[in-house]
Amino acid sequence: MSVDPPNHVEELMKGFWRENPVFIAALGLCPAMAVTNSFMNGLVMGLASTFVLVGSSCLVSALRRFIPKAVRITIFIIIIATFVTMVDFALAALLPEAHRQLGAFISLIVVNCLILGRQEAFASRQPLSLALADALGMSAGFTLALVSIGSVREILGTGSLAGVDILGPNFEPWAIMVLPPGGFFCLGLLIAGFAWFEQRKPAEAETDAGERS
Amino acid sequence: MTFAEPQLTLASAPFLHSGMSTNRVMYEVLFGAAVVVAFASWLFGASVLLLVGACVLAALATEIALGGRGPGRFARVGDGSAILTGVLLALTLPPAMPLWMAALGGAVSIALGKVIWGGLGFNRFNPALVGRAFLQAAFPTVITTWSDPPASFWDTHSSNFAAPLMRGSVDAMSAATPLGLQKFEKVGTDTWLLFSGECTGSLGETSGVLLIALGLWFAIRRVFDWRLPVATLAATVGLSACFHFVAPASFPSPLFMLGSGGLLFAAVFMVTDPVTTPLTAKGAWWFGGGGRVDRRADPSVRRTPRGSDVCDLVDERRDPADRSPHATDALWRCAPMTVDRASSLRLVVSASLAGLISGLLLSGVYLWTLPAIQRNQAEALERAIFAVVPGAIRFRAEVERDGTLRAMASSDTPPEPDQVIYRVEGSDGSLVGYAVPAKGPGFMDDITLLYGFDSAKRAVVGMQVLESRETPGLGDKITRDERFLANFSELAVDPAIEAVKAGKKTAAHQVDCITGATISSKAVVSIIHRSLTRWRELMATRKPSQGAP
Repeated sequence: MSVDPPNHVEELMKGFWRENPVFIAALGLCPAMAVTNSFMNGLVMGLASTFVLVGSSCLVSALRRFIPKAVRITIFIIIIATFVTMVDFALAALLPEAHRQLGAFISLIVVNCLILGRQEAFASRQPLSLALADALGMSAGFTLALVSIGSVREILGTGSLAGVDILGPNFEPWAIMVLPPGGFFCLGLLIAGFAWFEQRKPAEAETDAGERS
Repeated sequence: MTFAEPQLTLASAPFLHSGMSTNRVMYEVLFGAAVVVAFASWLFGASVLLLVGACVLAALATEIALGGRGPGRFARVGDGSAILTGVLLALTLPPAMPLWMAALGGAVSIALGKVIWGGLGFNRFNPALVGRAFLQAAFPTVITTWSDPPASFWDTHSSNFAAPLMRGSVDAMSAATPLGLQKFEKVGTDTWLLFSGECTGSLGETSGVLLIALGLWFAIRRVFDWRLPVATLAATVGLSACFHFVAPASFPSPLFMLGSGGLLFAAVFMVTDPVTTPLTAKGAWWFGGGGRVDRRADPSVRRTPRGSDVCDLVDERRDPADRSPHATDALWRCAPMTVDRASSLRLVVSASLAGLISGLLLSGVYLWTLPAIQRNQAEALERAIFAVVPGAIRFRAEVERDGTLRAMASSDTPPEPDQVIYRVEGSDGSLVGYAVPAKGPGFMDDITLLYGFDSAKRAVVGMQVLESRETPGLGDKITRDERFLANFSELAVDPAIEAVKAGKKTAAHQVDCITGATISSKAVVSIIHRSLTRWRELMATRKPSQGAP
């Protein structure tokens, strides 16, 4: 079992930055590129995944002693699929426009490896409160990633952000940014940016320490 | 126990040097490119020099910015490779392109085409072509807008000076290139014009004679392997000769293929990039020839009239140096899982139980959300119907029975969506028109739309695309391009609706296509056309129920 004492804050924060599912762990890349051609799509997808991940993690963690190990993946998938279908119905009822835009990608949350991965790696082995913290952190990190990719692509691809025109009528849209290759470029550059930032941080800390001593 | 460090000098191959260095190759090719630039600026004026300047400056700036720290930083810039990339990129661009786009292309060339792979010698694609491909994908309309040569040298295109991120004013008379003429209008171009270069196109690709002369010069100076361009050209000529022989009407002659588009430019300057080409003679033949054969075979390349750039890029792949993926160990830090040997009965029971609970839960959610979902769908339909038929107050669904249209009874089995039309009535209950759903193949996938039909005017009076997956930024303009949608506000259906090129509409039954979305526009027209042939007479024969004279 875990050597460190349980630390809720730690589990909550890690998904946001240090183990960001998209930028660091490169999980859930399919939705991260397929639906993020606008801020709104990224946000709705992020929130839908949040609901599914938090719901399934809590349930899996609560039931972890009753789920036989041999069929655990099957049962995880049943649980995940249940939450995904709920989201699908709820979006169709409440936000029909967003549902139309995201289309099949809502149903495809079932096969998002981030969600199954958290069940297998974390929720099925940890108590409910830790699983909840982990799921919330990971979802927030995932949503952050989707929203940032979506924002960049919407600004360059259409000249607006969240549907609000910000670059004026003479803006020349970059068609590539609303197409799948734009998703790859954007994601790649954001990952590079993340890595660069991470690399700089320790270096700066060292120089700071050196200057002080 | 200690060992004395032996004094050894370690050096890796090569040990023999042919006298050809990176710098020499780069500057020889730069000299050749300069000749092309000079010819291009004679033809297209000062815009050429501006574009070359923008690309080169951006390429150099990116090289310095991303070149890392250390003493080698500026030395690398001096090898001429970034300058050459900039010049070659500029030569693939059309003369009226805004300078900021050219600069963006230069930056992308170096950043994504070269530095990201580890610098000169490690890149898997020709950097200039990466930049060109990026610009092609980002600004497909701008990069295919060519203009006629200006009146004097100092006549620059005002679109060159568009503010960053903004579009250029459309002052340039757009002119079709020989390839465009051939592909879309089946008009050939005089062969001599193609080879002397006095026709429109991208900056560096218009003078066949000049390019051939430079190719010969490079081959004699051994700047590149002569087999590469020869194989490229031979494959093109051979293949197009076969095609031309079989169907001369639809495939142009090999001579045309040789002289038009970027082929000669590509053969001399792109295919021969030393970093991305094979080292053996046999490899050179395959490499040079292979791309042309692919180009003919691959439909996605054939679809664009400028396959040369695409297949050069595809061609110029090398085997990647495999790198191990960066695994995030921390993510999988977890407690060990003990394997239990549960009885199979328990497995079956728990899996079934999970399925059962899930099913119950979902049927609850389904029943709870169903009314809202149905209401949304009905509202969407109502909005669309009111949008496509002006003056609509209410509507009802009708189906065809016994050769006429009859109201759909609630007892009817719900028919296929394309077998229902909506009779739309105005405030006094008189027939205003019909709203007709129609569906058919678009460029990417089926397009579903709804159009309004006025039986008295015998005209389409409105159209709305309900569902489409056309290419974002191009084909999806059919859903919102106002000038295109205006075509359908009064479109005569006699003798038959017809799609014409943008701006060529002369009669009431014609539809102006959207530039850059011709296929999707035509798809919309043909979907409506097919639906009209199905419903037109039914809708027209039925007399207005009451009130109308």
